[in-house]
Amino acid sequence: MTYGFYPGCAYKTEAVYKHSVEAVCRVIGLELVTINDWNCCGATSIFSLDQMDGLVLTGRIFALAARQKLDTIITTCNACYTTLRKASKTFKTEPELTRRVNERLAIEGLAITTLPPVRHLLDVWSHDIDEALWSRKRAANFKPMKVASYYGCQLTRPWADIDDPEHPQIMDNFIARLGYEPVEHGAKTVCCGASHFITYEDSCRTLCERIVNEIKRKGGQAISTLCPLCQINIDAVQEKQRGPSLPVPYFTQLAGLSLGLPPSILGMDKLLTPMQTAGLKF
Amino acid sequence: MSDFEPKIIAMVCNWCTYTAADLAGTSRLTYPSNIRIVRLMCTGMIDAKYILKAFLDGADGVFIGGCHPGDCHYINGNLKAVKRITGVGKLLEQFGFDPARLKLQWIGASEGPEFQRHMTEFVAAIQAMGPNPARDCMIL
Amino acid sequence: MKYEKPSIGVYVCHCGMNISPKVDVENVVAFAETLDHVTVARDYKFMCSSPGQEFIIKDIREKGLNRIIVASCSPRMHEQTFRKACEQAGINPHYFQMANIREQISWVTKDSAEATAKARDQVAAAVARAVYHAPLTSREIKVKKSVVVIGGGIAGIQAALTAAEAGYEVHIVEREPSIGGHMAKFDKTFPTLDCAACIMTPKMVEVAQHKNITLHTYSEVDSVEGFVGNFKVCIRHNPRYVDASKCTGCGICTTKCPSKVLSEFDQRLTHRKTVYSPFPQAIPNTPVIDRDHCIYFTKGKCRACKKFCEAGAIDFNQQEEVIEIAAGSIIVATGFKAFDPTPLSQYGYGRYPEVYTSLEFERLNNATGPTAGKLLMKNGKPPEKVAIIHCVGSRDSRYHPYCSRVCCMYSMKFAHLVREKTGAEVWEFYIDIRSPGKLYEEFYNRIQEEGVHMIRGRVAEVTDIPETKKDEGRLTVVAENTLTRRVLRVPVDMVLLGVGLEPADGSDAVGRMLGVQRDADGWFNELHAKLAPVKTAMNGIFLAGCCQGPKDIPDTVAQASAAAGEAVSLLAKGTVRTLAEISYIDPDLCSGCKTCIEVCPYTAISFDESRRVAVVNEALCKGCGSCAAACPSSAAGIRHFTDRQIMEEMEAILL
Repeated sequence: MTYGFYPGCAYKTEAVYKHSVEAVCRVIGLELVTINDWNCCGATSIFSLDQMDGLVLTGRIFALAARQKLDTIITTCNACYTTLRKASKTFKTEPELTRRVNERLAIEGLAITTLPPVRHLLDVWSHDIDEALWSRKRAANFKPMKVASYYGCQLTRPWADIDDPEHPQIMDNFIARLGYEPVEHGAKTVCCGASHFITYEDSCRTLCERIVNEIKRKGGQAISTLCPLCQINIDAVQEKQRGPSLPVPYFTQLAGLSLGLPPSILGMDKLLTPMQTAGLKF
Repeated sequence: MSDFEPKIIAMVCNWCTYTAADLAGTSRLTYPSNIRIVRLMCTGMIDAKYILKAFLDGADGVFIGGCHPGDCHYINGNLKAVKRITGVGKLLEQFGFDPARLKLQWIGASEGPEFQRHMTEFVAAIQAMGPNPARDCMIL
Repeated sequence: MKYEKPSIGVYVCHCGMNISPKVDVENVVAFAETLDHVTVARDYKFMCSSPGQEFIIKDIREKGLNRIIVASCSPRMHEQTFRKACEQAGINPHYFQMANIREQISWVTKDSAEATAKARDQVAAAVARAVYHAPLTSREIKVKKSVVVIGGGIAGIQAALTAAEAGYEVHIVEREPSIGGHMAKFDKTFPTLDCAACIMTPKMVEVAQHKNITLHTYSEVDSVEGFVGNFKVCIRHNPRYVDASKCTGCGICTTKCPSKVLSEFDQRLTHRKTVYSPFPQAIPNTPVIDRDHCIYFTKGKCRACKKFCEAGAIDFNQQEEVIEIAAGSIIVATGFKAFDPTPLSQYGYGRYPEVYTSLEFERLNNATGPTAGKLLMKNGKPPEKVAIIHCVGSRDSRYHPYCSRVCCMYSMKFAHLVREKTGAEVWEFYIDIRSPGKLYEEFYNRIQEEGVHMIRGRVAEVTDIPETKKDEGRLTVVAENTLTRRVLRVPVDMVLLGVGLEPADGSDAVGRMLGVQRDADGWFNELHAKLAPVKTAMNGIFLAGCCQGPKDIPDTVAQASAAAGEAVSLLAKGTVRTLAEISYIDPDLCSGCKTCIEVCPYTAISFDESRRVAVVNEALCKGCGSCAAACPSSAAGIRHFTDRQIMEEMEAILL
């Protein structure tokens, strides 16, 4: 099995997903083959603007993956995850559209020949990696803390195949496997406002604060995320919020900490609210 | 072959397709007169030999009409018919008949227009195929 | 029977102007006269009229005709009319055959010559097959004057009482320790707000005391064999471990039992003992020992109940017992199961303690329930604001597409009870209000006047995330009010889910056992949606109550009475008549391969081990012909649709 990897545009920005993904994959022995010459997936907005453009962008990614003979496409971002899956479904069911996309891709000598499954890295780590490995490799000095999982809107919706769309458990189960104490709360899939944070800051502030406050109320010490946009929104909103802030690491960074990797190589210093605020020393 | 007027046997079940044929009548939906209806209680009672007999006697086509799956008056007679008629289709080839001369169709009791449409289409299809070869090579 | 040379009369009908101008009737008559065995051929304006029938009768009597063909309308129209005429004239009605030249010829053919040619073929076909018609008769079979009712809820109780009152022996089979079903759990009933127990318990007592009714509680139907009028029903009595003949119902065993488990009857809101009666008014009042939880059965000691029982009724060695009942008819009244709302995780059932299903609320509200009828939250305080969500699991393509029919009304009943008991604010979230029924719409108006907020909008979620500080600890219901087109966030203390109805657990097994079909949603299929709503495709088996589809108590009781009426009408006659057009198996041709036994959908064929041949049970056979088509030796056939008749019919058309 060759795990193809689609990094997406936010992979190297903000809290730098890249560092922790690569560091942890090295430790657990999971090889990710990056799709060469990958391009922007168009994100969730493109289909509302121009369906054809959206399909050409995503189609090119599938075509590149086919050229590299990749069996799976892994993403770390909820928007990439949904966008690629939406496109894949269209290619499967709309031969005429696919033909027109292939016409455009032919300029580069590319074609959509296969549609490998698109999976989130959390799904792969949860289901393909031996469950016992995480506890076996857990650092001796690991200090458990109360972590609330925040899933965002697009991991489970609209597909509802990876988990319950309204009240998912997959990340809670995963961080429990890492040794953290999951915090049950009601804001798991509540909207963070996504990219509207830039244009409608006030409205999105309310949305994000609802999430943070709910997690504080339920006693969370940190908020685990799996999407760059969720991460930055939830992290940034707290700067102007009164009271103590909660750190908002990626689940990959939490995995790295659990495995005892040095915080410096996990990009922990990029978090706006440092992990130390949660009373964590490393 | 436009002047060829085929003779087609339609074996239909009493509960659905026969009723649909009656409904086509009460709705005055006309269709080609080449159809000769043989009323049976259920498509599940159609023996393979009835179909072979019809073709050997010179029928240009055999149409079998029953209830939609799940609607059978006798629970599942229509499903038994599917199995049997699929088998007969293969047998027809060995006899030298085009299996397309045999057609099975579900037509529910309320589907008068469907009955009209299927009769019209099947007659046209058989017309395109030409007469039953048995008419020429067998002494009937 | 003496062979009679066929002598056929052919009668071609003009049907006024419906057949004749299109079909050249005179031509068809002239053609018919040339056919073999045809003695007489005539035409007439209206064959179905009295003079038309008189022609036939006169010709049979005077010319000695023994086969009659009428070429006119569809046999679905007048086959019975002409068969009766034949019978009146003294020949077997099955000597009659109809050619459909109206619905299937004159009305559907444009060209007159083509129509006439087609009519000639169909008349020839009818004549050819009629030569081989045989005189058929059906048999009368005696029926057992007893009814088995499966299910002891209100449907089963009503059906049993109706049949028992008519003087028939009735057996009720109920798998729970007591009869009463769902209705026994309810507090009030809409729209009149009678107390459910007050109207239910007298009926239960009547059942217990009725001399014609035998109760089989804590029992299940193991197997059903036989056919209309002569069913053999095996009933398994599960061991109660309490001897009903000795038990006085004093309840000391329950009082002394040290082991507690969650009460199924109270929807797991409270506990019951391991030796228990599900509720105080249980019928019978003999308790049962729950073997799975009993300390004696699980750990081998205790026996507290046995020690204190003065009547000596506790019997740990009781065994299950299977008894056989002969029944003329069976009434299925297996009821429903409330939809489990756990999969709708957005409503938080199971996560938030103050989210209740409707059945839980019925118990919460009931004087014999966990709070003795006081409407209290888990913290012991009465709610100040209550939300009721309609259509949970119903009208939802993910769960059940159908409307469960009772939820709107019971939800509004809840609204009234909450207002009455606590004065709390009530918010009802509905998609559409369905209140078709006597005094139902009036009840809807009434609760609106009582100040219930009616919001038209499906609830998006129930969350414990508060909007403001003061709502902390409450639940917030989020929904769009589709009439004002605004999103509402309503903080409440308690959420009631109006869960839908689905078929009872085990109805698939019951269906298989009885041969009664179920629809895509799992409800039992009636024979005809409009004209035979309590009959099933299996003769002698009838449906009552929710097992056929969701319905409220008035409809259930009406249907149960109807089912009992049908059952009694069958038994009152004392005999059932078998169909004439059924299968026969020629024992001389049968090779004993049993293929027919496999294909028969009615288990109407059995194997005679001594003669090594298959034998048709004429009372069970419906004449579908599956056996005839499957028989490799042509031993099986269907009367009136024999190979010979069908072959002759086709030959007449084709040659």
